[in-house]
Amino acid sequence: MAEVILKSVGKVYPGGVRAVQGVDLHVRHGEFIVLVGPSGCGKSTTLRMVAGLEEISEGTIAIGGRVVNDIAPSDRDIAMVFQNYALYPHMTVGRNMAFGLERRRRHGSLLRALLSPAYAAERRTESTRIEARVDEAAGLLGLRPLLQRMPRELSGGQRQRVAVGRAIVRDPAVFLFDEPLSNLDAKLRGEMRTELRILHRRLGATMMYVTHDQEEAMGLADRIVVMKDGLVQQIGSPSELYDRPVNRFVAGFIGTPTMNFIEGDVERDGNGLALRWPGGRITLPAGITLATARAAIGIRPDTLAPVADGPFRGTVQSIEFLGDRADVLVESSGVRLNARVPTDSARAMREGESIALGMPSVAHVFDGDGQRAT
Amino acid sequence: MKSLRPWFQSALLAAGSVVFLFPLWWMVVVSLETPKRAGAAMTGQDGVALWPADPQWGNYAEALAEMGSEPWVGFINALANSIVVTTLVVIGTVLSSSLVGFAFARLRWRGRGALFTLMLATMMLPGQVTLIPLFLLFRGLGWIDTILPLAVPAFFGNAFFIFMYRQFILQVPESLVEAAKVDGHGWLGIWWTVILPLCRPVTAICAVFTFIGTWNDFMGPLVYLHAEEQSTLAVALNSFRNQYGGLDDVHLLMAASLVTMLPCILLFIAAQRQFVEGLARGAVKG
Repeated sequence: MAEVILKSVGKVYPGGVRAVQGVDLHVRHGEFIVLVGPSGCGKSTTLRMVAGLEEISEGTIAIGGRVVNDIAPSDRDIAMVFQNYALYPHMTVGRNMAFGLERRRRHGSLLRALLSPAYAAERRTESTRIEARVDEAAGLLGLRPLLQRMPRELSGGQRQRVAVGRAIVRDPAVFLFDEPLSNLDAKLRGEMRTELRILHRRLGATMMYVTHDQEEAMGLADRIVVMKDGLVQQIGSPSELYDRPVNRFVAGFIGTPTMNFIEGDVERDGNGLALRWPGGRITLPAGITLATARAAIGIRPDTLAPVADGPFRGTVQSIEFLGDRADVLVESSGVRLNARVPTDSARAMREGESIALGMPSVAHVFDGDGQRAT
Repeated sequence: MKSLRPWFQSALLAAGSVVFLFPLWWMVVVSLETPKRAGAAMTGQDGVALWPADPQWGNYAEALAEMGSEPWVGFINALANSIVVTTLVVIGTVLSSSLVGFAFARLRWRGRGALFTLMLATMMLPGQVTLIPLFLLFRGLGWIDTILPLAVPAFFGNAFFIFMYRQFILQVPESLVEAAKVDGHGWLGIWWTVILPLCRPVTAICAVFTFIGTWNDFMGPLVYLHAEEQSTLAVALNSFRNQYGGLDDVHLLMAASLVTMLPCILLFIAAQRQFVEGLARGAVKG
């Protein structure tokens, strides 16, 4: 079983900089897990520790039930796809894909093959096997016509596919992807994302993937790990993260456009609580408990809709048409609110005019420390 | 700055080429002269001839036959010695300089910066300063009258080429090294299979410079190799001097010198593209 288990994993660089702290993560066999977060959050460092390209300062990492802290990258049964593809420029596509297997072959010596016919026969069998593996992976990714080309003769998307192909050829227990799509244009990124998802389903392999793009994470992952400042903020399925973010950071990071936050003072409201903000008073959902005097309500832009009379009255600052939807920015009592509304509804609005937005039935409440109120 | 007109540029370059090529052409002319006219050309009695009056093509065979004390043997020995020494020095310099350059560029180790500075400082030392200590060292090792003092130091790197390799290797993306690690290579494997093939432009410069320097080296073989059968071509040319240090057969010396120079010229022509590309790259990124 190709599970990856991280226990209290930390990375401290010389000079005392803590890049990663106390990461606990259990990647299940065949799972597609995406590590996401802003630059410098420690996601790539975590992946590189799994790959063996960074030393592990604290904790343990186990792959397939074996602790790999002191095991060389090549012996961890992993394959890695790098952000800049890392194809060897002086080798053809075919040789790039076969390179890792060539290194592993047991009958690699040309000299011994010349001296011993038996050895030469074994060597030929191995070569045939390697060629078959390369051909199979090339077929899977549509790379067969490119096998004799040099990397410089390929487009960005083709290079990316070769990098993925090189990983597949190795048939590893775990695939590691370090922002593999970030050098591609938006259209190609979308296409490659779909291809990767299909590939994951076909191979059924364990995959760990790093990106700073939350949309990419949402599109690809079985589960997402959100990181910030070297700490794991939340681990969950895309829908869990979207629907029940554990703190303001996750709530703001996941989802496009980003969640609106309305901050204010907490007040008693009968048996429940309310939030006093410059635009008025909002009753908080029943059953919410808050230990702080300040709090914030988080509202997803696609849950805000224009109404005749609502709690958020303000001026339309801008309207961006996106096709069937439009993003409308409304300034209400000093707070900027993003609303994603149907295009028909946006057509009726004018920039500079006053409108009202209604309070949605689903809203998230965060305490003064940014933690989700329960 | 306003660029020069193309025809003026060409004229300027042509004039510069004439200045550089004239000595070579003069060697060709003198090498084809009769002994009398060649001697006159040396003393400037008949002015400078730009064309041989009666080309003596036999001068070349005669020159090579007369190199050393036995006909042809001296030349063949000297040629073989030059080829062996130069090949070893080129291989040694390329392998050791690229390996050390790789270590300075990619490996993290304590004292790396200090050692790199120290290595650069050795470039300031003129060769003459270390000549006598090195001679004493090699004599102590019993290496005098063998090619070891000429070949072995090349396997310990050359500061200038180490610097060039390091600068070039710093431009190679780190992820290539990491990909090779994941593919199962150690540091030596990464150097041999990934870095060295990528360093072709630098290797071309290193090999051509080292080849020319070693092929034409007069001082080293003169100091360390004393027997005639061990001399290299550069030293063997000296046999055209008479016992008083003068030149009796200048036409033969010129003919032999041209033959000696030929491999350097051919090598430069063969490696010209890589060579110029490497120099330009060094200038831009180094």
